[in-house]
Parts: sequence; structure tokens; C-alpha cells
Amino acid sequence: MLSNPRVYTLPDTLTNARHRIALASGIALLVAGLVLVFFVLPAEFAVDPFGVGARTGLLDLGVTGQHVAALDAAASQGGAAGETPIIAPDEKTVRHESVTFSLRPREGMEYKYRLAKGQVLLFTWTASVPVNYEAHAEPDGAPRGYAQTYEKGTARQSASGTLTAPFSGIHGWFWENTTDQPATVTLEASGFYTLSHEFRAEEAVKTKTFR
Amino acid sequence: MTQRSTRRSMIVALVLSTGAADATLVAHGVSGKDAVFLQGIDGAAVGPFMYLGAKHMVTGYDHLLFLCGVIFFLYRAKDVLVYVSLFTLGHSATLLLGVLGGIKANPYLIDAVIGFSVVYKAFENMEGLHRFLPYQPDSRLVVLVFGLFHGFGLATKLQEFQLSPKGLVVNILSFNLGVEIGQALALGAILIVFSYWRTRPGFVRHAFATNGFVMACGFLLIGYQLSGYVLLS
Repeated sequence: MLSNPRVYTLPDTLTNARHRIALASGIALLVAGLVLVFFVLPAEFAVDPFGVGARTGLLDLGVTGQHVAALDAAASQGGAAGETPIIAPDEKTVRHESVTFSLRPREGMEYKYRLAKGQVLLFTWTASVPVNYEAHAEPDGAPRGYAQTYEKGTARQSASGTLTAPFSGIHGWFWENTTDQPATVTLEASGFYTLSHEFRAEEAVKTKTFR
Repeated sequence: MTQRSTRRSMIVALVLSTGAADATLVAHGVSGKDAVFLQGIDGAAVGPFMYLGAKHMVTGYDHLLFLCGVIFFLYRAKDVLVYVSLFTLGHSATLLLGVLGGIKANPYLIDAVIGFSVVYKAFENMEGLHRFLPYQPDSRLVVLVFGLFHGFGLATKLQEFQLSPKGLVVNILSFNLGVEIGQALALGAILIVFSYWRTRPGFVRHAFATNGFVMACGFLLIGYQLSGYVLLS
């Protein structure tokens, strides 16, 4: 510690002139303003007044961020009551399937149906051992790797319900076998889906078409 | 009309069309996975809330910049203790009252005020108040008042989550305690750096420029938050 503390209330210790403080404050404001309009606005809000964001690629960051924010907002409003018509006609006939998946010890997998916005899926799944699960969806045209989570659970052996798609995309479940023994998950689902995808780590995606 | 200006107006339209975007994504707040956890809690959870409070403080650049500004010219341990206690008193009061009383404000505007607190403190450290104001506000009172805003910002962000009323008092107290632990950790690190830096001859020479830099960061925080307010809320 130094022996000569500067105390705020003693003006005779001042060393900086007014014009120096004003100049430094002005520079600080200018630098902050430039960083804001050149970098922060494009990257955070997709606003690019001078085109710097487009040239540096920061604009893409902002556009994706705004896109994700919009998807999140759509998903959180999608479940609101009153938006779904009582009868929603569909030109396809209803599909129904019962499918059983084998899970190796500690293995996780995903199974998802393609649903258009507003379409409903009725489902029941049961597992031979308690599993961790997550119901989620990937919207069409969403940035790579984006997923909207609907529901999560640990150590569950069954769940049933209806899922109303808040946007067009693939909707379904991730199940994880946390035990050291093989397990099975059986899913029954009805709806107007046209496709399903099965995802497992280090395996090609298995796609089923429903006619 | 050039191609670029067409594109610009498209982007502005996109931003305006997503006006309802979730504020928590933009405001410096609680990160996504922690937010999911917070909303899932139903009852007292002392450990997690303490941890999240400490994490918020240690990773909250606005609070850290303000703390740096506050202790910049405080050489005596007693002064550090007085100023930091006043800041703690201020932010604890509004954090508890805000969450328990359900009082909230627009998070962008609160964060803009927090940015202003950084600018103010840097200006004070540059002797700007002495040179430009006819009388000097008591810097202890100012720290207390800015502490109120920092705590109110925290309370506003916590209330964006649907916190269960079960165990809320215990959880908010735990969060507050965590904030103080995080502040003590961050302050410890800041003081170690400063006590070394003050022994170097460069400290006095660079103090002015450093506060100018801190002020620029404060201006940037204000600009960032006001942009969020204008474009997103």
C-alpha cells in the first residue's frame, strides 16, 4: 500500500485539467459509439448501419440470433389455448404405428416425426427400465444444431399425451438408458405424420415413410 | 437505392417482426440451461441458488467494472470495506424487496443505468466531478444508490423466470448470499491485481487512461442496452 492516499474530498490533489478530462470522455464516448454501430449492433441485433457487419460476417451472427429468438418466442406462444381450431381437417388419413427400440446399456437415441404446424400427435411410450427423456423439436429452416425443448424427465418408465406442433419441423423424443443392462422403449403414436427419423450416435439416420 | 440499403431495410423488418423476442437471450442474465433449472425448482434449493448467485457476480462484467471503478483509488482496507459494504447493502435491499415484492422494471433500462454507474465512477476517478461540478456528491452515498440499481437489475432478471413461491424466501436469500460470496471472490482477485499494480510506477501514469477505457466500456454498455430497449422491447 502506498503512503499517500488520494482522497476524493481534497481538491488540491487534482492533477488533471478540465480539457484533458473532457477530451478523454469524448474519446471514450466516440470509441464506444463506433464499437456499438460497427460490431455490437450487427452481431447482437442484426442491425448493420454501415455494412461493416456484412463484411466481417458479424451480421450472420446477429441474424441467426434473432432467428433463434423468434423461434423461441413462437414455441412459447404456440401452446396457448384458443389458437388450435376444434376441427382441423387433413387431406391424409390418420397414421398409427407401434414401434419398439432396443437400447444398449448407457445408449441414447432419438425418434422424431415430421409434423406441419398445428398438427397433433397422440402418443404413449413405455420403457422396460426407468429412462431419461426429452421431448423436443427441430423447426424447418432453423440454424444447424438448434432444437426447441418441450419437456424433460429423469427415471421415467412411461408417458402419454398429445403434442401440438408449434411450427413445422421434426418433433419427437430423446431417450437415454442410464442402466448397465439392455432396455427397450415401445412407442405408440397416431397422427398425420408423413416421415419419421431415427437418430443414433455414429449410425446413419433411419428414415421411414408413411403412406 | 442500392442493394445494401434494400437489404438493410429487410433486416430492420426482420428485427421488428421478432419484437417479442425473449429478453433473457439478449440481456446479460442467467444462461439458458440454468434458466431451465430455475423454472423447474419447486421448494428450497440453497446450494444451486447460492452457486448461481456467485456465478452471476463473477461472470457479470457490468458489476465487475463498477467494482473496479469503486476501489480504483481506495488504498486503505477500511475504505474498501466501507464502500463495498454500502454497495452490498444497496443491491441486497433491492434484490430482496424486488423479488419478494414482485417489483420489476424494463431490464434494458435498468442495465443502461448500471452502464451509467460505470461511466460515472470512471468520470469521478478522472477527477471530472471536481473539475466540472460546483459541489461534490458524497461518493459513499452514490455507491449506495448505484448499489440499489444493481440489485434491482438482478431482481428484474430473476423475475423473468416463473419462480415457484415454495421456498422463495430461502432461495432468494441463498442467491443473495451467493452474490456476496461471488463478489468477495471477484474483489479478492481485483485487489490482488491492484495492490501489485499500485507498487509499479506506471500506476499513476496509466490511471487516467485506464479510467478512460473503463468509461468507454460503460458507454458501450449503455448503448448496447438502449439498442436492446429500442429494437426488442
